[in-house]
Amino acid sequence: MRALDRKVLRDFAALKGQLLAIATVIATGAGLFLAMRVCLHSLQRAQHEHYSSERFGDVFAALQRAPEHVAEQLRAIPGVQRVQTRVVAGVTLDLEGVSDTVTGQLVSLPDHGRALVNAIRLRRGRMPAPGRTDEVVASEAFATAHRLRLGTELGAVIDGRKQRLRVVGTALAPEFVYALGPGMVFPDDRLFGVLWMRREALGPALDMDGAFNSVALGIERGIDPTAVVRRVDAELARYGCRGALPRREQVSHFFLSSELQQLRTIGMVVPILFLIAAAFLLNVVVGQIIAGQREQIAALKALGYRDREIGVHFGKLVGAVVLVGLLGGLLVAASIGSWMIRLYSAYYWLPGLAFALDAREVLQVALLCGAAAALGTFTAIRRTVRLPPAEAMRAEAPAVYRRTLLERLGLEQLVPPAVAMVLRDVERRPLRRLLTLAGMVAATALVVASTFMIDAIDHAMVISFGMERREDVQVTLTRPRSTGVLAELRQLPGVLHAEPYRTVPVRFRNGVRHRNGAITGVPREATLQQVLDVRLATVPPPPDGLVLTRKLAEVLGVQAGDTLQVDVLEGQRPTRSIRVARLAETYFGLGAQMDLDALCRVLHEPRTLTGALLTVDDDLLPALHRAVKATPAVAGITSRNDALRTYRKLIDEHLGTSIAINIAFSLIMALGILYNAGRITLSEQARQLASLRVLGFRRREVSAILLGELGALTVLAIPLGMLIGYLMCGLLTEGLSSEQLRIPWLVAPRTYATAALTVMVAAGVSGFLAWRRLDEMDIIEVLKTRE
Amino acid sequence: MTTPAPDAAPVFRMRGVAKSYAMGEVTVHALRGVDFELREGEFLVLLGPSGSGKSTLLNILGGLDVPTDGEVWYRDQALSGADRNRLTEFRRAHVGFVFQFYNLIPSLTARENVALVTDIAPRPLDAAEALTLVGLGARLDHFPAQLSGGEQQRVAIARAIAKRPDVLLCDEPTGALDIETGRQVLRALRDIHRQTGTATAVITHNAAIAQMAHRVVTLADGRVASERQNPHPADPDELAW
Ligand SMILES: Nc1ncnc2c1ncn2[C@@H]1O[C@H](COP(=O)(O)OP(=O)(O)OP(=O)(O)O)[C@@H](O)[C@H]1O
Ligand SMILES: [Mg+2]
Repeated sequence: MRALDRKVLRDFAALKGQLLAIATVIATGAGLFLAMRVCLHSLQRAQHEHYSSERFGDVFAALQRAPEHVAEQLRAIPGVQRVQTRVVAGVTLDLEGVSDTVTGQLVSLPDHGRALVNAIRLRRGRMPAPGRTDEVVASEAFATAHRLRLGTELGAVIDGRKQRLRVVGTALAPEFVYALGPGMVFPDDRLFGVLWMRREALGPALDMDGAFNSVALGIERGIDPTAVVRRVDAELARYGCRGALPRREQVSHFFLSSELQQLRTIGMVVPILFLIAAAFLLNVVVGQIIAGQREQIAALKALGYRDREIGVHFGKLVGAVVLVGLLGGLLVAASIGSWMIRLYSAYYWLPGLAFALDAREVLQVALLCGAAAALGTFTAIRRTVRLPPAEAMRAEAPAVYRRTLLERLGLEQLVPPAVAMVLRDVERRPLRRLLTLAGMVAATALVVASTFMIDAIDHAMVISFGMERREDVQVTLTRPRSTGVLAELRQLPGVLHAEPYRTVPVRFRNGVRHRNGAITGVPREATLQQVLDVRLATVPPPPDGLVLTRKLAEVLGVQAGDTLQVDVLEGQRPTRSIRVARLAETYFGLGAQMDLDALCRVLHEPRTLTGALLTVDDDLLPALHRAVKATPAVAGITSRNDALRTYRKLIDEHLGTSIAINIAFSLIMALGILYNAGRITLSEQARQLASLRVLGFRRREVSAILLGELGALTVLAIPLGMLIGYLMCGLLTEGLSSEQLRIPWLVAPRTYATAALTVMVAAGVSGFLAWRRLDEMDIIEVLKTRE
Repeated sequence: MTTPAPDAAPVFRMRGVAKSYAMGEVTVHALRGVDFELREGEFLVLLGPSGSGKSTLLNILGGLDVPTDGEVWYRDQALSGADRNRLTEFRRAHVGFVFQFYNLIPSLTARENVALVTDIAPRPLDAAEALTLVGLGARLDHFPAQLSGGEQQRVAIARAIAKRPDVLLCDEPTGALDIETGRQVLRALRDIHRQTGTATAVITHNAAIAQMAHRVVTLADGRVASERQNPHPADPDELAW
C-alpha cells in the first residue's frame, strides 16, 4: 500500500468519532432514500404487473339493474375495448366465533373463462366449480385476517336470504388492493371482505338473471376516460347508474396512487435533507482537517506530489466516509425497507411485494451521496490543492479578531472577558455557527413535521368520531325505508336510542365543475350526529339548503349563498337546484348535509331513512349483533369503537413505529451536527481554553464557556425549528391531503415537546462528550503544539 | 570532502532574480537582483541575517516559488516562467528538500514518511536503506512523535535523499537542534554528499557550519553580499559552534 494511502487510513482512525458521526448521517439519508425508493418501485412494479395481468378496468359504473344486452351499447362507445358486466351485492357474514357484524362484498365471476376486465388472481385453492352455488373465493385479506382455511363455511345473508357459503380459494384483485368497507375510514380486513361467486349462482340469488348491476370497462390507450365516462353515464342513466367513475376515482386505485405519490415526495425530501446535512458536515470537518494539515500538504508538494494526487488523497478520505456511510445505508435500507414493505402489505394487497435491493438503485444512491460529498468538500479541497507550496509552508496568518458588536456599542463592562472570547470567535466565524444552528433547526423541524401526522389524524378522528358522531353503532339498510323500520330497530336487544339518517347518492354540479358524492339528511332533533361549521362549532342543520364540506365547495367553486345543481342518482333521478346554506369542515370524504325533512321535500318523498345511529347497552351488544344478522332490512352494522380500535391499531403498529424511526433519525442528524460542531470548536479554542486554565480558571468555568455557546445555540434553534416545522407541516398537509382525506394543519404541544426534547438530548449528549474531552485535555500538550 | 572542479558545470543558474511581495500598500522586496550558481558536486552554505531572503532564494531554486523578475535555470531548463505543473514535475524528478521544522507527516512512521518519496520516484533507494544511511535503521516503525527533534530531522534527510535527487536543498536543517544533535544531522548530510556527490545547498544562521562548505554565499537585504571559496572544508566534528 502506498504511504499516502496509509495516511488516509490513519487520518480516518484519528478522526473516527467525527467521521463516523458523518457516516451515520449519510447512512441514514442513503438508507432512507434506498428503502423508500425500493419500496416505491416494488409497489409500482407490483401494481403495474397486477393491473395488467388482471386487466384492471379504466371506467367503472354501478347501477340498479340493466339487461345484459345493454353491454352491447357500452361496447359500441368509441374507445371502449372490453366490457365486463357483473353482479355485485353487499352481504352480512356470520363467522364462527366472531360476534361482530362482518360485512362483505359479493362479486360475480363470469361463468365461462376469466373476466375480460377486473379479473382476479387465485392465490390458494381453486375457482368455484360450475353448478355449485355455494362455493366462493375469498379475498386474501379477509382470509388472512380470519385465518380461513379452504373448506371453511360462512353464513351469509344475501338480499335478505340466509345462505351457507364455502370458501374454496383465496384471491387478490386489482379493484380491491385497498379494501375499504362501507362506512370505514381505514381498512379493517376482519370486518370487511370480498367474496367472488359464479354469476350463475349470484345472479339468481339477487334476481339478476340476464341482467347486471355493475360494469367495468377497458379502454384503448390514449383515449380520454372522461369522454367514455360521459358516454357510459348517458347509456346507463335510465338503469339507475349512480355515476360512472374513471380509474383515478376508483377507491382502491385512488388510495394506492396517493400513497405512491406521498412515498415519492417524502422519499425525495427527507433523504435530501440528510444529505444536505452530511454535505455541510463534510464541508466543516474536511475544512478543519485541511486547515490542520496545511504544512503537511506543503511538504507533500515540496516532495513533488502533484496537485491532483493531493486532491485525490483528500478525496479518498471523503470517499472512505461516504463508503462507510453507504454500507451503513445498505443495512438501514435492508431493515427499514423490509419493515416498510410489511407495513404496506398490511394495507395494500398486491402480489409479489418484496424488498429487494437492486444494483441500479444502489448505484443511484451512491452517486447521490458522492455528489453531496463532492458538493460539500470540493471548494475546500480545491483551495488547498491550489495553494502555492511556498505559501502553504508558512503558517496561516493569525486570525484577525475584532472587538465584538457588544464592545463596540460600549457594553463591554457587561461581558466578562471569557464570554467576550467566545463572542469574538462567534463573530469571526459566524457561518459555521449559522450552519450548526441550521442543522439543529432542521432536526427540530423534522421531528415536528414527521410527528404532526398523529396530531392531525387524531384531531380528524376526534372531530369525526367524537363531535360529528356520538353513536355506539351505525346500522345501514339495504335500501331506503320508511320510518317504520325505526320502530323495528328500537325493538332490537340493547338499543337505547335510535336516530334515522338518509344518504342520497348525487352528482353536484356548478357549471362545468362537478363531483359525485352524497347528501346526508340529518333530523333536526338529532343528538348523535352533529353538523359542524368551518370553525368546528355545532350548528343546527339549516331549515333548508345544504351544508357543504369546505373542500367540496372549493372543488366546485361555490360559496355559502350560491346555488348548486344536484342530480339525484337514484329513484326518479330528478335534478334540483339547492342553495348552499353554509360551509362545514369535515376531514373524510366529499359530503354534504341537509335537514332530513328538507332533503325528503327535495326528493318529493315522505320521510325515509337509509340507516340509523344507535346507542346501545354494552352488555347486550353481542345479542344485538346476532339480531341484526337475522334482520333482512339491515345491510350492515359498524361500531364506532371498532373504527377507533382500527385507528389505534394503525397508529400503534405502523404510524407509531415510523414516527419513532423518524425521531431516531432526527436525533442522529442533530447528534452528528452537534458532536462535530463541539469537536471543532474545542479544537479551535483548545489553546485559548488551556491558557485560561493556566491563568487559574477552574475546569468548571472553562467548560461553562464551551458549553455556554452550545446551550445558546440550542435555545435559539428550538423555537426556530418549531416555527419552520410548523410551516413544513403546512406544506405537507397541502401535499398529503386528498379530496377523500384532508389532513388538518395543526401541531399539538406534545409534538413540539418531542421535538425540543430530541434536540435537547442531542445537545446534551454532544455537550457531555465535549465536556469530557475538555476535562481530559492535557494543558501542557495543547500549549506545546505549534499553531 | 572532495572538492569539485572550480569550473564544474552549474546545476542552477540565477540571473538578476528579484522577488517581491505586495502586502497591501507596502511591497516587501525579499530578493533584489540576485546572481547565483550552484555547481555539480558542490556543498554550498547560504548565510545571512534573518529576513535577508535565504529561504526565498532556496524556494525559488527548488521550484516551490517563482521569481517576480529575472531568470532561473536548472541545467538547460528554464524555471522562471514555468507553470505550477512543470515546477511540480521538476521537484518530483530532481529536488530533495529538508525543512527547518522537518515537516514530517505525523500520522506516518519514519519508514512510511520516506516511502512517500520512494513511491513516486523512478529509481529510489529502499526506504529502510535511506534511514540506515542517516543512522535510524533501528527506528523504522516509529512515528514522528516518538522521535527526538534530531531524529525527526534525520528522517527528513532520509526522505529527501531517498529519491536520489540531483540537488539537495536544506533550509536551516539544524535550526531547531542543539549542538550535538545538529552535528549528527550535519554528519548525515556530509556522508550522503560524499557517497552520492549530490549538489547540496544548506541555509544556516550559524557561521560555524559554513566551515563545512566548499563555498559560502552570504545574503544581505535581498542581495548577494559576499561569496567565498573554502579550499579545505572541515569535518562536522571539528566545527567550533
Ligand atoms: N509570502 C510572503 N509574503 C510576504 N512577505 C514575505 C513572504 N515570504 C517572505 N517574505 C518576506 O521576504 C523577506 C525574506 O524572507 P525569507 O523567508 O526569505 O528570509 P530568510 O532569510 O529565510 O529569514 P530567516 O532566516 O528568518 O528564515 C522577509 O522580509 C519576509 O518577511
Ligand atoms: Mg528562512
